[in-house]
Amino acid sequence: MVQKSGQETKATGGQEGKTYGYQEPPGTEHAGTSTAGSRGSAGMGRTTSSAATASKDGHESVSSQGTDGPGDSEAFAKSTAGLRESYRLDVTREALRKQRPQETVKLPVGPAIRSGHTRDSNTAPVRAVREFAPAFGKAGRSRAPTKEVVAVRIPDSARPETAPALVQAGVKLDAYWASYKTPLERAQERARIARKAPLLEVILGRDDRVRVTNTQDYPYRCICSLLITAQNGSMYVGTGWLVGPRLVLTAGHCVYMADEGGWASQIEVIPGRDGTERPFGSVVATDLRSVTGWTVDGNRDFDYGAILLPEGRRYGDELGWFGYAVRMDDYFQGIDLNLAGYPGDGGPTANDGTMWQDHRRVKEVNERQITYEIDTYGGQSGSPVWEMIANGDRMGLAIHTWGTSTSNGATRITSDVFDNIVTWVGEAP
Amino acid sequence: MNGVISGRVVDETGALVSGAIVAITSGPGPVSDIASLTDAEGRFRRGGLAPGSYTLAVHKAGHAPHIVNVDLAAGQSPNVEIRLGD
Repeated sequence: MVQKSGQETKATGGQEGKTYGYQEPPGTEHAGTSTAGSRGSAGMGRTTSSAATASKDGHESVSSQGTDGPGDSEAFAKSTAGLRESYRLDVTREALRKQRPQETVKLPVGPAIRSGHTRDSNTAPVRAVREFAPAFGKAGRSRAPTKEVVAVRIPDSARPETAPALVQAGVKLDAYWASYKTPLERAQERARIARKAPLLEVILGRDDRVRVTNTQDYPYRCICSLLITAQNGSMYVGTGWLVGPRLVLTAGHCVYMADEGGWASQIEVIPGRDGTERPFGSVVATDLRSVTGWTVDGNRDFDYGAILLPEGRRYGDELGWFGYAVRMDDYFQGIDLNLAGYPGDGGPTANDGTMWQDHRRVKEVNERQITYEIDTYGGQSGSPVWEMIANGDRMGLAIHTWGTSTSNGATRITSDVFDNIVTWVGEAP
Repeated sequence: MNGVISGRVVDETGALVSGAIVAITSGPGPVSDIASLTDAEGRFRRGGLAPGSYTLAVHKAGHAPHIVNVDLAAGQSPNVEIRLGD
């Protein structure tokens, strides 16, 4: 689906529940011509990006250039016909559901009810909250009330420790190992954990990361290295990605760190960074957004946030931005996911501040998160997890946030997340 | 109850190392994929951690990656000194 800048399209067919068009900047060259370094000139053509090509299952080849011919599009359309039909049925069901009276949430006396997706910011922390009925949105999920529906607003003065409870230590393996690995492999994994082997936990098996050297090409120039200064002065590195002219999407824990004083005091945003090279300069931002599910509850399901760039630094106009979309569960099973960002180890070649990419199929999909075995490392929090679809669009589907020894994971762009991104983009037009 | 691991990174001579990356490479459960950066005095800090054993990896250009294991007990905030090259 080709969409132009700023158009929100409620899908009437196809796999996506909601999509927001990606934007290549003016002057992008296409169809096999080099775009290295091209930016800021006229025109708004689009189709194939020069920086990478998509395989039929959606992963990107970092260094190759080329076009997506009509044959790919036809094959893609054919292969997804079933999903399209499923989606149409889901839309019909959703419409019927909306016609029925919504289940009413019983409000407690006193504190108001809020959603984990209630927007929060460092400039105007949430005080008022909204009521809503239990519904998940348009992605075909269960209509059962979710936990945050009945959560109660906690006064700021009584905010709890917000980091989520983690699994206790011990040689316990993810259930994945029970289903898909041999007893020998399970024993080896337990032994590795017991030895506390310095195997990088988020590099799963062989390190498959590939260095992105064409960081000045779309979409990589839309991926930003983040230098984060926490409220207490501690410093961190992370990753973000442009989803609008002045909006960078990232992990909630990159903008709000409960144990470090709350909202970050500032974040330097460096798009397309390549080691010491900053081809598009950088900007320091202080206007931050997240949701109360993260800032108040510290719930990993709501670990997403955004950075509003200063008015004078409209990086999106210059560099373009990613689209983003809500996808149904089944859709994830058939695609490769791409992930690129700025690992703190500098990748396998240990080059500081360089961008690295990997791609792989999804491992698990649940209501608010996806897990995968894409190799990542500390510093890649906030990275885009995207698919490249047949016509060259890039659609962000999740925000990378965490890792374990057996899988890594991301906050999925659900309908609620999507709506908040749209709102934040609107705050930074 | 969550805890904090903080510390300082120095080189072989004991000089403070700023701009080093300190990442958690294994822990008792999922950990945020963010990494700490040492300040001008070589200090780093990582909060929001559940009790358990963690492996930290320190990266700094010109030095081999350095691995250190840290046990974080409930309610504790260990402060570690990491000497690159050891």
